Amino acid sequence: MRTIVVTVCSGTACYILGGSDLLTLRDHLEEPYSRHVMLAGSPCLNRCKDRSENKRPPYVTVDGKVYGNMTLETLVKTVQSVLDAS
Amino acid sequence: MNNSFIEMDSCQITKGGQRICGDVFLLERVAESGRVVATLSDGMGSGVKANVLANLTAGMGQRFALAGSDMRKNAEAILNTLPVCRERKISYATFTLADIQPDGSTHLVEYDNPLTLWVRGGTCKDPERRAHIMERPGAFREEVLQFSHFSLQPEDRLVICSDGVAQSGMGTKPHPLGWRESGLRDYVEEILSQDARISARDLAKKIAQRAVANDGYQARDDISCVVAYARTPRKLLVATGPPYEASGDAELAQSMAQYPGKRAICGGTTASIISREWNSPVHVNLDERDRSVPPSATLEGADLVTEGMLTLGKTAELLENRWEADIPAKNAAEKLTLLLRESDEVSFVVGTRINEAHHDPTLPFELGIRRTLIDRIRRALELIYLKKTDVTYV
Ligand code: FES
Repeated sequence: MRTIVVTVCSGTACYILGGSDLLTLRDHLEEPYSRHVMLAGSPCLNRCKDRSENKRPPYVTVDGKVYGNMTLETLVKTVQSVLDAS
Repeated sequence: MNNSFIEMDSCQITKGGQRICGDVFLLERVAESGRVVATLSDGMGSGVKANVLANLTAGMGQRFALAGSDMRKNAEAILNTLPVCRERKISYATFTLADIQPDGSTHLVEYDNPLTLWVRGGTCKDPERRAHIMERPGAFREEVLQFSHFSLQPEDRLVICSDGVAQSGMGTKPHPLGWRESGLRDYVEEILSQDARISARDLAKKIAQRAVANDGYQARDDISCVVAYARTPRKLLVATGPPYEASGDAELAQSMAQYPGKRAICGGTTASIISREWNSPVHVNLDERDRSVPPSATLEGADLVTEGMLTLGKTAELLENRWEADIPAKNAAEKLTLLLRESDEVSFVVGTRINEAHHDPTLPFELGIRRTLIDRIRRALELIYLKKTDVTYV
């Protein structure tokens, strides 16, 4: 299993729309996944201003790819599937 | 003396068993000029009666001094107004009045409080005092008012105490006659030799706590200590919001880099701009477990980086409610509050580019606009904490 970086946006829009929960990702990942995740924050991933994509805050990047509308549940699932596939 | 900031703060500990302090300390800073006028008054006895008398005395001192009339006439007027105690034939309240101009020029009027210490270079000295003797009908002895006029230099301090400090420990083995002025002097010099830059607030606290310790940890009289400290102002720059024109980014980053003081950045976009311009990464502090506001971040060259609206809103609330600091601060708003409170002059640089995200009607919250929040914070800093502030819109 590779180790991947997960960046959770903690900017205003993302934080209010659920980003605060996403920052607790660590507490919700089980082994062996948790060992393979490096969690980081970002003051603003710059997506909140971009109306072109049909996504909404909160934004997260998982292994370089951007995801919007994240909940803790979908984030855990996404991380697991990315890691499973690696 | 140029450009010194007069930091003045006090620490009071009420006599054991009393709920109201009989010493009253009033302080006023004249916003336009930076002049500071302060009076410490010790009412006879303790409790409510002492408090009322001290309040009356200190209030008169402040009003007269601020009105700017002749110091001697003022002091006489106070003494003539104060009643004389029928049994003890002494005056009901003592006072020390300090009037300090921003250039350091200082007038002191002292009446029956322990003499003020003037500290320079870590050593206590005495200002040259002129005694003025007053005979009041009904008083059993002549009353002595002491006047002095001298100039505070940068890094000078004044230490003003009530006799609860000078007489602390009286009758105990180490201090049979009380701590006295000599004990206080030695202690102040000892503290300054350990920490020459100690704040007025901390020095006043240390002295008061030591006096209570002398009393066996139960104050035997109301204990008050006031410290004035003339020092170079502590400056803080708070940048929040991206400049209206994107071309202003580089300018903002540059003026921040050159700012002669501490720097705080409040806002994700602003942090990204500065990070890009300074070529220095931002790291969000994920170990901050208190989640009432978004976590703070670190960026080399900045003393604090926080999110914008939520943190500023919370900070305004903490300042307005006179939040009592727990150190270490638990979240970004508390960190910002502490940083603001330990600064003397705060300059806000407010960017006016509209952040599209906040105008999304589906966002389930009402964000006060940046301007309103900054206004609230400035008002609290000026009115409650006597700070100087200014704001620039970019
Ligand atoms: S606040 Fe999250 S992308 Fe801007």
